[in-house]
Amino acid sequence: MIFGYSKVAQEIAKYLDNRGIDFVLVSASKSGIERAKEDNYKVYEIDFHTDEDLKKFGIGSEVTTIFCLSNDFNRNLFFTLSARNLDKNLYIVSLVSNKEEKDKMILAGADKTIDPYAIGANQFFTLMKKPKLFLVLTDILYRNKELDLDQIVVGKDTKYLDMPFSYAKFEERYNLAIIGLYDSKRGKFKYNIRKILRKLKEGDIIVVMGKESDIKRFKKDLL
Amino acid sequence: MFKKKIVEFSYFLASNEKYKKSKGFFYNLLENHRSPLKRYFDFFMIFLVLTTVFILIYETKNELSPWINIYEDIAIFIFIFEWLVRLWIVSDFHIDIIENYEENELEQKNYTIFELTKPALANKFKFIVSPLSTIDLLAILPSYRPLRVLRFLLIFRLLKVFRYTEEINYLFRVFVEKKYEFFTIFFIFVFLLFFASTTIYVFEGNGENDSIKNFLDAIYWSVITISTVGYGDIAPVTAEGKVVTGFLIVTGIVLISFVTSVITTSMSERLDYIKSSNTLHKISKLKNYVLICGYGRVAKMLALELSISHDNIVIIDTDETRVEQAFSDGYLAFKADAISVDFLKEIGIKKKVSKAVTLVGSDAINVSIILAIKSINPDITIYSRVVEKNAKNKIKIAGADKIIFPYESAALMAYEYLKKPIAIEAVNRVVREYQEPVMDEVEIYDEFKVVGKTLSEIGIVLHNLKLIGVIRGNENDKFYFNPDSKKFIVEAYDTLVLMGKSSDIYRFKLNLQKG
Repeated sequence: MIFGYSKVAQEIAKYLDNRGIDFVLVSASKSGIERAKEDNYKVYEIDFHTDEDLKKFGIGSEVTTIFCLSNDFNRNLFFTLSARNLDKNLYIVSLVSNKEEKDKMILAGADKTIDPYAIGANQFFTLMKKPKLFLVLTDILYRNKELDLDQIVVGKDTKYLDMPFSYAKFEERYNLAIIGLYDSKRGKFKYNIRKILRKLKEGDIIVVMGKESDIKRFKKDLL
Repeated sequence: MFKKKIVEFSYFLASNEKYKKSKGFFYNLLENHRSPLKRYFDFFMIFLVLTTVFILIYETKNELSPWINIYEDIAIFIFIFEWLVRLWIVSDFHIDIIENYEENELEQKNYTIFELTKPALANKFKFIVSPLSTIDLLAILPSYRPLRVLRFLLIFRLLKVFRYTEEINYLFRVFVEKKYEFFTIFFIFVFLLFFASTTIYVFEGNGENDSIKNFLDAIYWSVITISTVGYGDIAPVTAEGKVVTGFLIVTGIVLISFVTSVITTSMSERLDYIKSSNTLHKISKLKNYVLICGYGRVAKMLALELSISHDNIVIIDTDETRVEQAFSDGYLAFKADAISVDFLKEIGIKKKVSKAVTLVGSDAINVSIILAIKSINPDITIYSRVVEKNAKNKIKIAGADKIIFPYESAALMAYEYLKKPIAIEAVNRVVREYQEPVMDEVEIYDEFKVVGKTLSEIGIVLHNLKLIGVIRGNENDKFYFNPDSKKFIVEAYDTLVLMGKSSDIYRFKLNLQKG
């Protein structure tokens, strides 16, 4: 579900549409609804103050992910809070425009916040400082069909379970670049610079970069 | 004959590098506001002026020791020397002569020595009678013994301080700039004064009022009343006199408030100017900087990141409050229009800027700024934001080298977050360098000894670094992901993408240079 029709919402709708991913577009503002209609999207008016309306559109049942992307921060905040209240397992991404708003939004129950100004500034900075790296990374992240960045969860039946991470020699076996290992229990991320001797546990997450086919193979072996 | 000698000597001076250099040195010392030398000189001169004025005060009731006399003599000598140097550098006597000579020769005129040197002398004379030079002379002349009676004039030496404090000078220019306003006020003032003095004199100068004995008393009374000082030593006694007084008091208040408002408004305008001239001065000291046009939210965060990585930044915005904000955030900022080519030239973008970012909230204005910058120096790399997506093409045509549409980037990231939040976060962090380790690019240059070696031989693992891939400059920046380090041979213009501690990356770079 996408709530609101800001410029970010407009872009994400286009992105989902291009990939054939289903989404519901809801908005509480007349102008947002009109703009979405102009772009040929089916859009529903929602009264975000009432839980009944939220339930009617599938929050608490079919909806798994919500993008709160209205231009009005308070609306996004209220929507995030209400939706989180209805469903603990929802994945909520909300639009903010500064650090204060980000903190409030996390408190209200958002899983991730998106600050287009910070992202823009960051991209300018990387582009100025590491222009080639920037192009390579955006290519891997958003465009390149062959190379990909992914996170892989360690399953309970894999042969690598309880093996010290660096001894498994994943990079050579699968031709991958391993960025790091996320210890899900402690919530800590360790970058793969020196040897990581921690034994692999179920639920750990490995962040890798590599060819899609290699990642697929790696994923299968880690199940 | 003598004429010829003068012309020859002028040509000699014009061709003499040493002469030119020494004149340049004194120009920097005395007149060039952007020279650091001038600052030191100004401080020294202010010190000298203040100490000699203090001596003057002390001397009124005390005997001076011979040492203090010597000190004063030295000070006077410096004042004289300074005035002579100023006379020297104010214009190029020899160039004036050469120009005049060549003109006369061209027209085959007959001319006297006086005619030859006239324009050159005129320039010098103009300086001598200028207000600042007069102040200088007033500070020197009374020290000459036969003119000792004029010693009180030494207090004018204090005025010399203004010569050395640029900022006060700027404020004084208010009077020059607003001369028409002040002239009008002065005219009204004189008229009122004459009117009131005559009236009171006619009504009370004939014995009715003991305090008004002559016309001068009447004028004195008018001045005291119109200025709202009102000592009360002369007060009107007749009914007519009281009416005139009332009238004069009211007009006096109006006049004074008018003067005050003219001065305060133009002073505050001047203060802005002083602020920007200070910024200009600071910019002149920078060797290079990143120019940011527009100080919105993106710019604010970008400026923060750049300042953390020790880049010099200069910010331009047309909006007063945003400029104030940039100032209070600690950046060099201007309230100016970045479209103005003259302004951009003044802040030295031709030589000092290699990267400029246009972040104004209007695509049309961004386009104008890009064109203005490119017209001055096409080599400047311009990074521009796009507000409306369909303007991307126009921004590109205008000459922006890199374009970012923040809303699209945010949408892409939001979507990617959904699928792989930990992976995106992990990569973002290493790239942003907020913490260790970092991901960086290391360029290989022609002269590096590692060129021709395999990746496993150049010490990547030794420096605890992790190679992600190689960007090959010779193959149109093709990215080789995770290449086989035993087989992949390093070429010039390769860029290694490495992950590791920043200190390790730095050490690795150093070793590459040393070979």
